Order: sequence, then structure tokens, then C-alpha cells
Amino acid sequence: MSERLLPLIRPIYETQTEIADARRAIDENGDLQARLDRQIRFDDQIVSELQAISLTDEQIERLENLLVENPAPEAVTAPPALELVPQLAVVVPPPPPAEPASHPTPVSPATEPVSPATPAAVVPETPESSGVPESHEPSPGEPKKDGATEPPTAGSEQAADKEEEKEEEPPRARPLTILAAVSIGIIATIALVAYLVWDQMNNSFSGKDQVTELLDSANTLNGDEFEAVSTNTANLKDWFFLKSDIRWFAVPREFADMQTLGCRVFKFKGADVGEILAKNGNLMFLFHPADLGVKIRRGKWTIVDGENWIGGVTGVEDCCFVMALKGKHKDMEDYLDKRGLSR
Amino acid sequence: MAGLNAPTAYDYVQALYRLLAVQSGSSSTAESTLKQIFLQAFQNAGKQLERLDFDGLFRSAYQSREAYPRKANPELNGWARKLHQLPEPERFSITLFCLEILPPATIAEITEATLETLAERVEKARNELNNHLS
Repeated sequence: MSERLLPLIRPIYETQTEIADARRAIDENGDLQARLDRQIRFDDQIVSELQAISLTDEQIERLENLLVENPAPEAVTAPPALELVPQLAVVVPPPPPAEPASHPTPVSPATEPVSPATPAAVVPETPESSGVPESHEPSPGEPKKDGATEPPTAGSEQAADKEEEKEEEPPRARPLTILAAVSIGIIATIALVAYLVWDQMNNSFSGKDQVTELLDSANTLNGDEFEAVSTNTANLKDWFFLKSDIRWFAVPREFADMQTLGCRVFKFKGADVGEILAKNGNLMFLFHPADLGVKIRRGKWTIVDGENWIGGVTGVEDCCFVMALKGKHKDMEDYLDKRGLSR
Repeated sequence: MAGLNAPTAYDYVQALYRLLAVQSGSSSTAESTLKQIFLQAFQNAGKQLERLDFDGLFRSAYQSREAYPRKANPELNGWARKLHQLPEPERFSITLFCLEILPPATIAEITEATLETLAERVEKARNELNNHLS
């Protein structure tokens, strides 16, 4: 049964149960294995060429503008509508259609939440509704001031005296209030410390210094060091393999289309490091993380500041990938955010 | 090899554009259809990108698959051009499969097929590409 799914086997799909089962089923069959290898090589060509078809930044911008022209109704959730440009890159879509009810007709869901809110917003404008209750019933804490309407009685005098006494007492915070305030302070402090620790952990990783040095090694480059290779990064796997038997070459899919001018492999602290000069002047470093004692999480981006170059670092398969640009920390933050790369 | 990462909205949009380009054989048609499909989904999601059914974008593309007859001279080259010449639903199935944006089970669901049927369609498409078009 599983063998019938052989046509659907691709390395990227092997995390799917059915495909993993199919993969295991053919593992012991040499013929099927050879057929699978051919199939994957064949599909690789198609995958690579399909990735070369892309909307340009300008086209993406036009699409984003289209969304801006159709913003979400204010009453629903204002914040998402305000930053649509980063949203398009950042939003990780929800899992497959969990709620069929989330596909209503185009107009009603957008307008319905607004209409109940509108009358509510209009209410204060009607003079009767706002004025009447306040003039007749003072708030509970407020002493009655219109004594002229009622003749004073003994009971009411005593009550008035008590109220006066209360007013004269200096305001004291109740113990419960103090306790609550202190608790909130402690919780806020703990949260702040936890955030700082978390932030530190997120932005740091083992071997960060090595990456910093690697970035600084680019300060003296003049471009002559590179061999001219005009293609896109997705096509460089063979080049690096032929050049230096680098088998761990991998680039994040977001950078697969990046146009290149040149490449080189150089030794850095005894390790082979691949370096790519992009057409836009940015650099990409690739190395096997274990070779430089770097431990970096896959799929998560960390920013490393060099002297002149700022690096965005992530793990891709067995490769540590560093995207470097000249600029400031904030520039790299914007750069990663624009591509929806999570940190 | 890493598995499917959680694609971003950007990835979905690019993948949909590639699929529509292969289907229509025209970059301008692909762009305008993309806008149309995306805007409709955006409206359906209450104009909130977070609630947008991104898999549904491809469902819409599948439903209109027959709207794009094969062109003698599509604005495509190489394998994309050959993909365009395939009949449906093989064209849609193998293209979406090679876009590596959705798992096969979801592609099967979108194309209203079982995994086995999807496998057959993809294999048939490969054979066509190999034998008749290359």
C-alpha cells in the first residue's frame, strides 16, 4: 500500500506520516530506491525552475496596497489593519480550514461587527439619557448636598456627623491594598527579569563570537577574492560540492532566489566556509556549525553585530547560514521582518 | 533534509503566483488572478490577514483550473512551459506538489482525491513530461 505513494516521496514531505511510511517501505528494495533517486533528481529540476518564477517586490507592494485599500473595519481589531506591509511577510497562516464557518459571504462578516458598536458610540450624544440619572441619584460615596429639600432629623444629623468624621480622617491604605500593590510590584519585577533572561537567551547562542569574527573577516574584502558565479543561491549546491566537497550546503528558501555575483570557499579557523557575494552587495556565509563550535536553532534567526557587517544567523538542515549586510542592528531587524523570518 | 516549515503569507502568495503562472501561461493573468483570489479570501476572512484561509487560495485555483486552456506559446520557459502543456488535473497536481508549500495530504484534499490518486496523477504527469514533452 505504502509503495503506491512512492511518486509522492520527496525529502521535504518525509515529515508527513504517510510519506514517511512509504519511504520506509521502499528502503529495503534496491530497485525502488534507485527509482526514487531518479524521481527526486527529476523533481528537483522542476522545483528549482518553479522557484525562479516570482512576484517582484513591486508586484508584492501592489498587492499590499490593495489590502491597505481594503482595511479591516476599525471596530473589529484596529492594530492588524495598521501594519499591513509587515503583516504580509510575518503572518504565519492558521492551520487548514478548522472552521468552515469562517467562510461567510464577503460583506456580512466585515460589516456586522461594526453596526452594534455604532449605536453604542452614539449614546452619549442624546442629552436625556446622559443627564437624568446623575442629577437624581448621587453616587454612593458622595454625601447628599441638597439637604434643603428634606428637613433634618436626629438620625440624619448623626449620619452627617459620622460622615464628617470620616472625611476628617487622613486617608489610609488598607492592608489588602498594600499587599496587592507589593505583590504586583514583585510580579512585575520577576516578569521583567524573566523577560531580560529570555531576551538574552534568544539573542545569544553558543559560538556567537565565531560568527562575529567571521563577519569582521569581511571588512577587508574588495571583491576580487570571489570567483564570478552569476546565478541564484539555490543553484550553488553543485558549485560548492565540486569546489570543496561541501555536502552540507543549504540556504533558507527565502534566500533561494537571491541573485549572486561570486562565490568562494575559504578556511576560517580550520573550517571550510562558503561565502556568497549577492548582486545587491550583501554577503552570505555558510559553514557546518560543528566545525566552528556554533550551536544555532533551525528556523530561528538571531542577529549578530560585527564591526561593519550585521549578520542574521540561522540553521538550515546541517548548515549554519549567515546573511550579512552593511548597516545597523535595526537594519537587519527590518530586513528579517520584511521577509517574515521569525526570531 | 528539513521538513515543511510553517510557510509565511509571503511564501503562500509566491507559490500561488507560480501555480497561476503555470496554469495560465501568462504573468499578467497570473498576477490579476492572484489579486482576485487573494482579495476574495481576504474579504472572506473579515479583512483580517491572520484569519485568512491560505490553503483555500489553492482550492480556488483548483476550482478554476479549466479556465486556462493550454497555450501554444505561453510566456514560460523550461519545465514551467512543459508543465503548462499538461492536461488537468495532472498539471495542477504536479505543480502544487513541486511548489513544496502544502503537504501531499492537503493537496489530495484540495484536488478532491485520495493520496493514492494524487500519487497516480503526479506519476502520470512525470511520465508525460519525460516521454512526450522533453
